[in-house]
Amino acid sequence: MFEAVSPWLRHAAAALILIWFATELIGKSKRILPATASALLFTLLAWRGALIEFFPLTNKYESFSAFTVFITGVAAYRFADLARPGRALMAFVGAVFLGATYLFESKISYAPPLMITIWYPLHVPLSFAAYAFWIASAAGSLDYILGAADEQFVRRQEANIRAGFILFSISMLFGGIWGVVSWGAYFMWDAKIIWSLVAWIYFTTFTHIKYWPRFPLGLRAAGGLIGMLIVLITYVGTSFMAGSIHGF
Amino acid sequence: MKIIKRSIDIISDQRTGIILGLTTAAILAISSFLLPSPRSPERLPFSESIMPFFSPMQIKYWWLYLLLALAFLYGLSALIATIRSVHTRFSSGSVTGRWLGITLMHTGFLLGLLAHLIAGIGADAVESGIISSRETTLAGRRISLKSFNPVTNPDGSLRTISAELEWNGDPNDIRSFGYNDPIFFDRFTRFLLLQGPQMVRGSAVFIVDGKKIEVADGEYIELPNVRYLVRQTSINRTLTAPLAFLTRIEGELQEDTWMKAGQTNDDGLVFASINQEPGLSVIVRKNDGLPTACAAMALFIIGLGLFLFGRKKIILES
Repeated sequence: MFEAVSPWLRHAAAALILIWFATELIGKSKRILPATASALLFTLLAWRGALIEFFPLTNKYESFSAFTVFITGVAAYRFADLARPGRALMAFVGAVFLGATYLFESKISYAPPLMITIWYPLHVPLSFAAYAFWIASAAGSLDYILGAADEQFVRRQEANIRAGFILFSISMLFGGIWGVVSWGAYFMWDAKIIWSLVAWIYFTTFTHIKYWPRFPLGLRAAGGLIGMLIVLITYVGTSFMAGSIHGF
Repeated sequence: MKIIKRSIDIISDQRTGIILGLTTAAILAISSFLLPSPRSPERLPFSESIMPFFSPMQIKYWWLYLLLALAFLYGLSALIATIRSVHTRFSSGSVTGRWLGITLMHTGFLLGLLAHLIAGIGADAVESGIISSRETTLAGRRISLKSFNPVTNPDGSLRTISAELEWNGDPNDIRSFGYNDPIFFDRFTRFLLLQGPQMVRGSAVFIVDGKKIEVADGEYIELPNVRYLVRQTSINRTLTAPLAFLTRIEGELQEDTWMKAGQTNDDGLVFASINQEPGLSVIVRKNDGLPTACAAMALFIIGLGLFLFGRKKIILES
């Protein structure tokens, strides 16, 4: 039954995300679209997890699907806080990542021994949630740059940055523990790990921007978009770098 | 004095911290493009250590030297700012849970930098070996494998291994061990880590007068009027059968010889086989910064909790 039903969960989620993106462009979008897409993908992943009796993040298909769960979930959560350009950006990111899963092998695969630990499922979802909040921050920045943001832009950006910072900090701690108990080190000179540190330092610094008197709003907005670039490099870009063992 | 105070004001200013933070992030980002591939001969070691960058110092590692200087300034900025904040708050006579949380988070961050520095100087793999039912010595501990339980997935792939080790030759000190389940010792600065399972060569099996005996390398086989010293047995994967290298001793005469598994020699000695048993390939790693890292983590987590949920104002007694 899994082979028959599960592809349709993904197809349905993809269709909803595309509809969401299209309706943002014409100004008719509803929160139910990203919320339902998130729920469908979550159901798909939960089913896969039940079959392998472990957390379903064992390959690129599951990783990108899980990331889309959080992108659409956070977009639904922050729906009223964002304007059309920002929501369209989040829909676009969701569409790209879920679309990429069609290029990957979707067969059920079992987690290797080094993933069979509580620290792995504690580490990864928190980092994905953080990425999603930081992308929501970038979405707010886009709203500001295109003149669609309201006077709450700064408060909302700070809230998203802070949420991401808290989640990512906890994720990094759990990831460090996992690094020690699995392969013996909480840090090594690897592009993925270095960029995780770049992201943490960047957004930690961002939380302190409010203490800089009269920090230009335009720079703040640009910072949000740069943050999204950092997130994408950290999550995906590092896999293409020579200095990484996390290569595709 | 004025210059010192001015310098302290500048270094502890929020804007300085922001600039240092962003610059550190930028240098780290640049470094990721300059790292050698982990598959190349110039790859960096698998640890937190920065010693390879100083053995010897090379211009191509400029980014690390700059990074260390920035990290020092970043830490100094945070340290002075935190001390000033603590002094100001305590002088005012009251603190909030939220402020305390922020302070603990900054303190945790500083301890984390210290832990990283300690680890950077000496963290590394120090020893490796194979643990089997026969006692072996690693990191000064006598260790043997007491139980070995591989767990497989429905497709036959290995899911995990859980094992029990007798620690330090003490039959009452049995410790669990496996993937993601290392054994920490020496006050949390050393740990034994599982690399993977491995079949281990056990004792050799000979047949004497129709009876099977198990013999380890270096032991003797007694036959009427002659004895054999088992010098070495080998599971020879390039040839077709295990081999035993022996010395035949008859009175004062000694003669080196060898036998293939399944062979019977002129004395009626049969070399049957070599036992194999499961073992564990392990590595001993050291990281003197681990206890400090744990303290840093604890402070940060407590601080985060207070920041999120600590609303109460605490009046300090004057």
